[in-house]
Amino acid sequence: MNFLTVRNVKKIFNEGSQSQSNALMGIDLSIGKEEFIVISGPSGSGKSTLLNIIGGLDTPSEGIVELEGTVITALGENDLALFRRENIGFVFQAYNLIPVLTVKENIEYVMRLMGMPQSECDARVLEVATELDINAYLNKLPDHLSGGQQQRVAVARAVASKPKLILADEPTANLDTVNGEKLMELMRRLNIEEKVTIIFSSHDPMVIEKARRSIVLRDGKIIEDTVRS
Amino acid sequence: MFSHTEMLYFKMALLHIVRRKGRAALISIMIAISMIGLLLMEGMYEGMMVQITQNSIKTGSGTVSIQHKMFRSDNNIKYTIANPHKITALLDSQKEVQSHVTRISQRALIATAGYSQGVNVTGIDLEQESSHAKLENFIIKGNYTFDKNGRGALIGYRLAKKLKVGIGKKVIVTMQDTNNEVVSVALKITGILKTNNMAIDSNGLLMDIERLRSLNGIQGATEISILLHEQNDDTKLIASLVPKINDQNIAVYSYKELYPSLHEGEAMMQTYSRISSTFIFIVATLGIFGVVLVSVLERVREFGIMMAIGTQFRDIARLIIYESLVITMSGYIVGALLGGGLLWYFKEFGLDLSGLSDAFAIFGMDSSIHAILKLEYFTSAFISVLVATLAATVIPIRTLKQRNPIQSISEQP
Amino acid sequence: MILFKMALRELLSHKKRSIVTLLLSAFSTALFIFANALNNGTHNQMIRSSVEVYPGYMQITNRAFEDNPNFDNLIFDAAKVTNTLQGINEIKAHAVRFEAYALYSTNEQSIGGMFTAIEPEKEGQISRLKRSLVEGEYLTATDTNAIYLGAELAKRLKIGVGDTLSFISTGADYSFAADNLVVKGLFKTKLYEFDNGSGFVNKGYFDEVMHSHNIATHIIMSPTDIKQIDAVTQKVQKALDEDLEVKNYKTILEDLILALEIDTIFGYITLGIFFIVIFFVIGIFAFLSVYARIRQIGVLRAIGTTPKQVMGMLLIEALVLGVLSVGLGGAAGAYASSHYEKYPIEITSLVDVDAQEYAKQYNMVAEATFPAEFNPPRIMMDMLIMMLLNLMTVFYPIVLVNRFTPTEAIRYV
Repeated sequence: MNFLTVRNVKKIFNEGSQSQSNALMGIDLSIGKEEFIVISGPSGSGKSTLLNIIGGLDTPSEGIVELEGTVITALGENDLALFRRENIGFVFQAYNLIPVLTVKENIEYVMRLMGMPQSECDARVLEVATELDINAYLNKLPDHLSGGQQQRVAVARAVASKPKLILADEPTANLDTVNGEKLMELMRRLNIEEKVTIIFSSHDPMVIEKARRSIVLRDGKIIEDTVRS
Repeated sequence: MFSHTEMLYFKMALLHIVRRKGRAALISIMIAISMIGLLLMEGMYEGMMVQITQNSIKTGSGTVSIQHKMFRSDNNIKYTIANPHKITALLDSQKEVQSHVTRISQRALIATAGYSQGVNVTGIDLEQESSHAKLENFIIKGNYTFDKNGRGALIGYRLAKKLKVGIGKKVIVTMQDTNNEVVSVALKITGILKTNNMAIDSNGLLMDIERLRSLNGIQGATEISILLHEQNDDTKLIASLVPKINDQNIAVYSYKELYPSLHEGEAMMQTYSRISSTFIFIVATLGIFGVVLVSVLERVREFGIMMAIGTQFRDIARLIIYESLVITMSGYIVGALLGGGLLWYFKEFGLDLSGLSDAFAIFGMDSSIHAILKLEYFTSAFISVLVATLAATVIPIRTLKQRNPIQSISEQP
Repeated sequence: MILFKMALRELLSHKKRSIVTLLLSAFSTALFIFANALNNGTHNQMIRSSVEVYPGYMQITNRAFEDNPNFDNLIFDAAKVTNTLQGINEIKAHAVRFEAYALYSTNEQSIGGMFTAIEPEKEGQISRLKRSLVEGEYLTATDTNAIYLGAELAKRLKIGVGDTLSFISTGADYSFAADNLVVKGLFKTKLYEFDNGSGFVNKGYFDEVMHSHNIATHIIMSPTDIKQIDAVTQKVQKALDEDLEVKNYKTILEDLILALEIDTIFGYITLGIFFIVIFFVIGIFAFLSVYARIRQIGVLRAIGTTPKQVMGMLLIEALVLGVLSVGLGGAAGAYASSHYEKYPIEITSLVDVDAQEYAKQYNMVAEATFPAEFNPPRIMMDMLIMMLLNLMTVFYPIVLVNRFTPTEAIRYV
């Protein structure tokens, strides 16, 4: 059985109105465990929409998404939230850290929601922070960090609760080349060491070539799906 | 008229309000509701005060009252106006005077078969009182008459209730005459009055003035009660009357002196309304301020771009003020229309509270309250809203200037 | 826990907004509590004054007396009733009265008024009559030919302590009764009509001249616990013969109580207008604070926070502000209530002009002091209401923010 299955997913925005747009026009995908995949394509090709639907942030107009036997697209609002909390980590282009929480609190947020004891949270935060080299800022507020630092914290937050799948929408778009490259290496390492499946979107060739499998979208359709050896 | 750029700013202001309609609606609704509340409060309370005052003035001592100077502190029939005709002739020539009546009133004992109590007996002329304050309109049972023989009497409804007497029943009234002799008379109740003037309703008996004269032997009068065309002419009339009457023993009072509680009540009510509305508008200013500040701060970049392409800061400030005014003034208009409409309705048809009429009567009010509607309510509210809005934009505009919009364009969003 | 921490940090990161919200809500709470305390305290004082001056908390009369207050409808065996009352623990004190009318005469004046027999010592326990002494002495059970006279009535009769007057009245057996009385003491209750029309004598003496042994018009009682008065009224009624009727002040002073209720309603209307505006502003601030975080809330939702938890977080913010402000305002309001219960607000200008006139006009007890009432359960109730109002202010923001899907929220600008 596949880890993640996307079957005939279509997404139409503003259906029936004049500004109707077909973002996804029938996507079929099978993704195995511990894959490291990039989704690329020009802007407006449907990358973000696809990631959002896979992550249960958005619902498709048609089709289903199944993760390890759970049909995500059939879940209600509340179950979806719980499902995301347990299974999926998100990294956003604009970092989106919680400004009123410290770096440490941001990282442990999901674990706390899951009801993990404080001692376990502390241990895990330390582990992840060491891995990502953000130990020094644990007690700072996000506003006091640089963009690269903030994005590493965002990755730490996504990975800390040991999700099965991490989705990253253009994670390097706001970073310079050096920081972007660093972040990609980091994610690759997490993919191997934490055995977590990672799907990210990008249109940066340097980032795309780091992935093992590359899926290219155009106008809401998959036009290329290649696996590098 | 507005210039072309002015219209453009106005349009931009409108567009931005539509984009953020939720908060604009909150402010408008807040202003509309407080307007309606304030208008109703002012109009209804003032209506009540006017009603209480009118009830006391009409059936009581009038706008201006002429008495023996001792009568007020000691209701003794020694203290009478010896020659009322001289004074009434004077009054007929005063153009401020609408009407006047001559009365005799005296403390007496009223008794039925098994019950008696103190009462204020007033001798009146029915015709005079009718053209004076339309006293017949206050009759709730029986007729406006003392019968042909003058043996009838009108009494207050609370007194009638207490004495358990109805129309056609007899009461015995006992009093002193001018020679300190006790005299009694049997009177038949011909009418029951509800004036909402407690002095009459719970303590008053009205009888024929000539019959009273023949009983107690008073030739003059204890009071001349005067109504004016314009209530505020009281001081003017008093000033011109006193020298003309030219009698040390005669005092001329305004209702403000005779019913100081009414007059003070009016003044207190006005102060109270003023404090309330000031307070409400200060609080409302805080609300407007919050919204303006947020809507300015989230558009620092947008304003920066406008300035980069040549807009002066002055114009941006104007845009912010327009935007705020459109929001608050739409609230004002809705509030003024709804509140004004309600007030107009209550002015025309009254607010009927007849279920509570006995309790209202204690305050001297009728069961139906008629509101007062003054242009002043709307102009003062308009100025308040205007001032509140302008005050609320001062700090946001200053904050915007400190943020230096042009520089903000180059910053990260 | 982490949600609670976030809520707290959010409040701390917008200190000005939090403080303004806090102060507004605290002010409203204090105002609400104090206005209620003052309203209740003043009204209770008015009721207490009206009740305790003379009418009493509870009374027994012959059932037919109300409709026909004549000497056929009396309590003909007062001793039997008072014996019964002695066996009822809920009755603290009781006293027998016989109310009649008399014509009081001096050489100069004859004036009708109430002529009432009391049991001097017992009367002192159920009304303020004894305490209202202003000159001379109060009555004793051995007095004969001594009258305790209203000060206003004495003024009108032009007599003082030690002077003599005569009365003419009808005895309980409808015989003619007359005698001379010496003024032993003068009283002033502030109830103008009462001071102006009543005299009291020792019942032992009264029974001799009026032939009223063991007969009474009223038996007045005061209960141990006023709050239980309705139950006590029923209990006493059950213990008495069918032809006797027990009533308490709620029935006796129905009009006054209704009037006070109307006064309360008007108070609430004014407060209501204040609170609508204040809580609108608090609501607007809550709205703006949530509005500024729509994107952040989208992120929280994306990483697994449920809509309920988001609602919980916003409620915690309102709760924290609410608890602080209601606590603060509650403390201030409670302090003011207890302070002004001990040291009532005095409006001296009212003593001079208004109160006397007002009291004369409306036959109410003239009061120039306005005490508050310190009633902890009531204050807790008021605080609870304000707490609910505080929580209601986040209702709209919660609805607003939960309308967005996480992606919409993240993209929202």
